[in-house]
Amino acid sequence: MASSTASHYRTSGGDRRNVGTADRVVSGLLGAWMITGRRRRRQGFGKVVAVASGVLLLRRAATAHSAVYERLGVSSADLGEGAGINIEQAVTINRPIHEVYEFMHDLTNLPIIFTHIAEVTVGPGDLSHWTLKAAPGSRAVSWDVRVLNDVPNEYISWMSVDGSSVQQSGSMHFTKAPADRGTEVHVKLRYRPPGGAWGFGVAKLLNGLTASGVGADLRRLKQLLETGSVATTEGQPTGPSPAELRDAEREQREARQSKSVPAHRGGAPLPTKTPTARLGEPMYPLKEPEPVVTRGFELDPAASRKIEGAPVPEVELERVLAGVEGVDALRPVAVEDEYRSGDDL
Amino acid sequence: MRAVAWYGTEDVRVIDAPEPTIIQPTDAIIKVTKAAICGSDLHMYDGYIPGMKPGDILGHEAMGVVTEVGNDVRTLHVGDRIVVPFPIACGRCWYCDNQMYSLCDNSNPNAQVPEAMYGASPAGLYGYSHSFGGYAGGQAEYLRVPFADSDHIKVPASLTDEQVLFLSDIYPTGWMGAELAGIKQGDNVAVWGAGPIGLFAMKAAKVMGAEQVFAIDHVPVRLMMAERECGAVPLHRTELGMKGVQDALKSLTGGRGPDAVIDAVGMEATDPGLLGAYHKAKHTLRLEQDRPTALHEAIMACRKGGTVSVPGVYSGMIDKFPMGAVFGKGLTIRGGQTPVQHYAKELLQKVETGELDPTFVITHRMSLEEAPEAYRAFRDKSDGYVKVVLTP
Repeated sequence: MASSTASHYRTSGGDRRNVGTADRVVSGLLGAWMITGRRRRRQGFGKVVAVASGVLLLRRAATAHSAVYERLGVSSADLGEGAGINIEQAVTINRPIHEVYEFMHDLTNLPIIFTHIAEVTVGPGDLSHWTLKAAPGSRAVSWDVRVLNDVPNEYISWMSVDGSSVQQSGSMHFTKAPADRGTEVHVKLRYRPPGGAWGFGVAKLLNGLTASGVGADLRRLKQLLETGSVATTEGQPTGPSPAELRDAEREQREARQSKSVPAHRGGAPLPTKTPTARLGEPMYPLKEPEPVVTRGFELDPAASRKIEGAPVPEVELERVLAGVEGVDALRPVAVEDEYRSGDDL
Repeated sequence: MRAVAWYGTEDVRVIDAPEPTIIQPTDAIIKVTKAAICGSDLHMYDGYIPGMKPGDILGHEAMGVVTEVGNDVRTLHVGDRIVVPFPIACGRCWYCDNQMYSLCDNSNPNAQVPEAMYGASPAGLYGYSHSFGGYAGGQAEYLRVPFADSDHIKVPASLTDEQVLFLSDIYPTGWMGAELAGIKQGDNVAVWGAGPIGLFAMKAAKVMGAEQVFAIDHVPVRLMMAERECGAVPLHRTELGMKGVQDALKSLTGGRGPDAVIDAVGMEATDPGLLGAYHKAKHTLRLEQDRPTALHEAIMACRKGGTVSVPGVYSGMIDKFPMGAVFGKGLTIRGGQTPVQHYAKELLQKVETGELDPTFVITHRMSLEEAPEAYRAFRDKSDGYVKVVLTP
């Protein structure tokens, strides 16, 4: 492999061929068949679709360029430099250069950043051992990598050592973003398998080794470095599924029919946090009944009319009876009088 | 806890859900004391917002008392009474640093979705579909507030819940609607939509020096409020028709047209005429994502060189957009989701001094349990619904 550090800056430029010979032959044959093949019932809209896709496949074969491959950063072309997976992504992180550099310079952090990398162990000197996440059903691929260049706060580049099962090279380039925007990080990753790029490329789709996958990785890195964590809603509350609701309704109906008070709030078992109640335990504290108030357009919005003698609906009773671990004795009870006054916003 | 959740088009239910917990050290949990239903919630109710899943808890206008804080929260304590701004902002990215909180880089865990739709992702939102993060919303008994240090408005004990609840969304949004219109002393301003956003925008326009404010709407109760509360000239859209409104605006402004126009209607604009029927049909068949009739009219009415302010809400693509008019008349269009955190202090002060009392928009106060009924009536604009406040 003739790559040198300079080649890492070579843009794809005019040569956009990313489809290999075998790939082109298959595309060509498939395209031709789509256009000319006789199939039962292919008429109207179906025929238009078939002809259109046939034309696209033929064009792919003729020009050796695939927009889809380009989007994914994959190439099945058998041209030296281009073959394999080439990904270039950039992100701007609102932190000083040295902070960003120090985090990414530590290669053991790379698995935290990049979804497709399972592990990196730093070996003797400038060597390190990288392991890609295995595609389902195949063995994990790993190889040794040598750091070629490491200019603090500017540039890191690396390359797999000769004879590795996967030829890999990459670089990270750091520059100060304009004005007060922070640090620009430009990442280039290149993976070339020994032969037959197609299967390799497809397998890597599952592991985040795509342009958009790496883009998402860098977005999460930005969240991590700017805010300290990656935004998530894992573990937040959500309502029961429609199926669970139907089960709950059925149980309630059955419970009413058998005229017994259910041991827990009548319904399907709810996700963990909600407690089950036991009759006879202290009900603490009873919630103040809020006035269920005001219907209709009122000229004086401040006036609110309590609905006198409104019965507490059954649902309300059940809920109060069902136990109130949610209103914890240890938590300060929020009472109007005890609000703190506002500090500076 | 009880919570209002989405289960399909026109299917909103009050269900039991687990209480929220601290997930990240920057989180806080509040016990919700008041919540509200927003006109933009109705877009989900009507099934026009993609990325919803059955069980999603709704609501982005909430306030309450802090009951738990994560380990990294520095400026909030248990017992603090806060209003929660609806855009979730990390406070650390370049956008947050520059007051553009609703464009936060870091608060949408599903950023790739709006990135595909819009080119880049805005901030995450409470209860507004998985496209904007899928965060559980505030029409519930408890709410998790991520990035609590950046995303709270502490409010004094001297103000009631109702006086401050609208700092979460509609009061800053209406205010921003007027601010983006670039109103100068003596300007005439036309506002499409006399719902809460429009009403706040009209009040703000007057404060900013507008000479006349025109309110365009279909609903008599809303026009009445615009006239009485905001001193606006009411223009009844159905009676006048599209042309009638345009003519009225011309004649009331000495033939010039309003200097600034505000579209406080958004993507579910209704128009009883042919153009409206066209858009309604396309929208129903999902061939179009938004309905632009109000925006269209606003652009046509605006004087040359004027400003079109769009507080929203729009979600996708529109058809038949008068780009020629925008170009030919040299119009400026501004809009976006409100960076509530940016306006919080200034607008809270106005409530404290009594300069602007937001409670005037409230027409209905109900319990959380009645939310499904409230959604339906609010959507139908029946029974004089202008703004509903819910008590969990």
